[in-house]
Amino acid sequence: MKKLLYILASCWVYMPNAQMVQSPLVALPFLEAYSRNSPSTLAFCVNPAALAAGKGLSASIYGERRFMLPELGSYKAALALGVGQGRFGFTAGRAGDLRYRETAAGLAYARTLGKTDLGLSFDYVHTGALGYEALPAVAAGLGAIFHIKETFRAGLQVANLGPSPAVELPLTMAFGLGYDASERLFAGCEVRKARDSPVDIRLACRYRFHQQAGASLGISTATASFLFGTAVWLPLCRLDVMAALHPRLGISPALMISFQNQRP
Amino acid sequence: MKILICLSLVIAIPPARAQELPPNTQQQLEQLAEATETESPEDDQWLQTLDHYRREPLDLNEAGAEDLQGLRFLSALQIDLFLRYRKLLGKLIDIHELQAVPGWDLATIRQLLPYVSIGAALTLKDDLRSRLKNGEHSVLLRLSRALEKSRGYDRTRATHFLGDPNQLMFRYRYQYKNLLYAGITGEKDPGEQFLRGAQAAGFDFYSAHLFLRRLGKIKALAFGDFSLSMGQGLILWQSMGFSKSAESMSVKRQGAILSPYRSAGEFNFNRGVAVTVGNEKWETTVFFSSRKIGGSAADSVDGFTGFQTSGLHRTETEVARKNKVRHTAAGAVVIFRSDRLKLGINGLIQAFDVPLQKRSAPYNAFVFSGSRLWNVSVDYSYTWKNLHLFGELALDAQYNAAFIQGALLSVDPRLDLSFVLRVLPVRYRTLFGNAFTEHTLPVNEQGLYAGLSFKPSRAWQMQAYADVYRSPWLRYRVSAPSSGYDYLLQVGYQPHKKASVLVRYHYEQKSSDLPAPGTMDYPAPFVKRSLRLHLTDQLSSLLSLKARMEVIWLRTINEAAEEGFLCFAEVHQKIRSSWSVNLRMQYFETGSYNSRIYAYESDVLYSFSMPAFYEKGWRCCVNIGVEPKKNLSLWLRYARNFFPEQKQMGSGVDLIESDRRSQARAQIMFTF
Repeated sequence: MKKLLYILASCWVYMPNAQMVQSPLVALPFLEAYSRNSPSTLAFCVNPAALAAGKGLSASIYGERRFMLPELGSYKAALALGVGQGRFGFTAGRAGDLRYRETAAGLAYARTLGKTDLGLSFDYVHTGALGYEALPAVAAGLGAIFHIKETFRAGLQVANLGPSPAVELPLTMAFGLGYDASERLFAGCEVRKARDSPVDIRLACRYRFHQQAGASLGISTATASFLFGTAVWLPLCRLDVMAALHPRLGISPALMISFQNQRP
Repeated sequence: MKILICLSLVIAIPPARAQELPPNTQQQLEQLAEATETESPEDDQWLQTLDHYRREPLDLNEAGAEDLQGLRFLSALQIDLFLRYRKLLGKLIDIHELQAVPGWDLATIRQLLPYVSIGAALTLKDDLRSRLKNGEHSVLLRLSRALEKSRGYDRTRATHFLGDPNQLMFRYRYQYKNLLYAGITGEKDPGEQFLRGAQAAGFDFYSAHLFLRRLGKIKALAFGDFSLSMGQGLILWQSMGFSKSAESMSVKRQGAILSPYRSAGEFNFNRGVAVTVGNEKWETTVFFSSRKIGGSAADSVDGFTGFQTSGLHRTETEVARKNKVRHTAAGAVVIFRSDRLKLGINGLIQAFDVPLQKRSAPYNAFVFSGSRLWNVSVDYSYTWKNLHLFGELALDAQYNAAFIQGALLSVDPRLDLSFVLRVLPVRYRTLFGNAFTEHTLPVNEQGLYAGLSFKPSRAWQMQAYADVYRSPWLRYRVSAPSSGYDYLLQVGYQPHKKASVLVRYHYEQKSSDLPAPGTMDYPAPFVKRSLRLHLTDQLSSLLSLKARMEVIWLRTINEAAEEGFLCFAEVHQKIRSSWSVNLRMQYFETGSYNSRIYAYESDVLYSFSMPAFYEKGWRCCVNIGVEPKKNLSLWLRYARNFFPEQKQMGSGVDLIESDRRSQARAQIMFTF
């Protein structure tokens, strides 16, 4: 066990590309953190406590191109595995291009305590701009998801805690609610506030109209974007094709592929 | 090791009584604080009443309408339906029978259960003897202190506080059920002197009362300080009166006409004698009060220009305003009651030894000036099936009439409606009225309120209201006739008694003057929208959690929109059922004072606060309650505001040159 933890910690420290600071614009699958029905592995980026909901080994890869601009592309990968009574998660991400880029790595741990899931995360963020000194930052985060009822969950999250001498990451707080109206229909909302930034309210619903296919709709107020998505469930794999539409800045396509070594 | 021993000793001590109010009640208090801009109300009579009933539950077989009204959890229609049920079917046999009372839902009963019981009645003989022998004595001492000294404590300044920063309160109380109350209260505010100077008698404020109920035909008898509440508050209402809130059915002013005054607030009460006599159908209350109150004066005015309601006497100027005016009041209330009808006639005459002369300003053109004022009113309530009507028609000395009419309607066990119409002319004059209105005083307002409470299932409930109103004349900081809208929608989900989630959306549009340097001020619409998510969860038998996130968006013509944000998480922990700790962490960030957010905060027993949070900062607050013996309770509280981007806060004598503001409080209560 100690050996495994050492290897995992080493992987986190030496990971070349890390979790991006920029929050994904197309945040549809991330609100599934508050759903009981197989949330994607990346959901723990919204709330580290969501990590506790998964089973076995799972992974997700996410990429988006904001407003179709190559300079604003961002990519994210996450891996989660169960260890003992808890679950570890690792993230890596990159946003921007050579002229300005943000890279980050993250480690998270979560476990279930009765009807409450608790999660803890640590992020290392590296901001670089051509011609300027790179600025590293380290931050911690806490999350909790309360199972108010089997079909109703509420969550709290605080992210970017801790002092960073070089660059201070904005303290972020989130309060989310999720309601699984049935096996097919899920609705979630989240209020997210980063210090010195406007409040972002995200609303999303997902309807699984077929055993292997579903569609999602949502809205994000901070970026004034409408969100659309479809998902296809394959054996051990899930494919999400999504987009955000800003009335003036245009479309931002996104793709997510998730793997699960156990059938949900 | 010593620490461990100390900790284990503390853990072995039983917890002090907690005083957690239902979420909707907390919201009512928050909205009241917002309307009156009073962050720490000193009127704790209601909390005292609740705490008393928690220890000695109200006997529902003996409780009258006034007792049930005093709990403030029941609507007028629910009280009326309960009394009719009891009259029709006789005394209740078991507490579970409450579920059979029409209009009483499970949520209401859950709220009520800690405070009520089913018991046998006392005979009058036992009653009289018991009143004097079996009551409870309690002595309470409270010490609070701000840890950062404000500019007012700098004695080298011309205007400075005469006393020290300690806030002291002392209260002795004797109470036997709700039949006999006696007590004395003394209070010193921060900055006031103690046992010297202007306060040579010790505390700055003293209050004493002796109050008896149900002495044969004498239904209530008060000596000393007492509160009076008449009709629907058009002429006088001194009890706590809630304004609009998510409790959309709490629109009727209800409470005892006469009640003992037991708070440390220095303004809103009477001092003298009052008596209520009557039988089942008729009831008459007469009272006389004479006391000195604080008044502010301008040099050019031969009288006083306004009341000093804060009760603060810290500087020489404030001390000079103390007890400046003698206020004398007398009046009577005659009530007729039948099965369905309650009819009341109220009369009140008030006089000052020097005339009141409000500052000369257009918005003050119609307010009362002079040294004598009288008001009379007729109020009624009538219940017909599931409809409860109530109202009041009041006249002042110039025969200006004000009118308020309301209705509560239970159209279905799951759906209740409420309506309030008010027509309150600008010329109508009242000094201490407090009706169900948008503004503080029931004058210069016309409006219609409609509320709805819908409970489609045990778990889900929805409350909503809409209020449309207008002021035909100017108001303070509104330099033209104005109008406003106020809408609220709240959805609550409580799948079981241990957890609940509330989502509330509030939209409000009112007028306020825009600063216009060099020209006349003019009012512009001011739109405020707010969204609140509130979670309560009993995580285990010993640990509970409360969390909230609230956002306010503010928009005014010609000014940039601004946003306010507040988020807190609070845990309440009982460690091995021995002692209790309450810890809250809070972050807030607002554009300015205009987008401030109020949040209810637990405090030591009989105390609560609803601070307004603005600018950007953190707040940490911890309360510890311990009961080392059955008759001894201790509370400790520490609260700190931290503003990382500020070097100073406050203004004038209250200015603090620090980035933090802290307060410590200790309270001890001994009962015997």
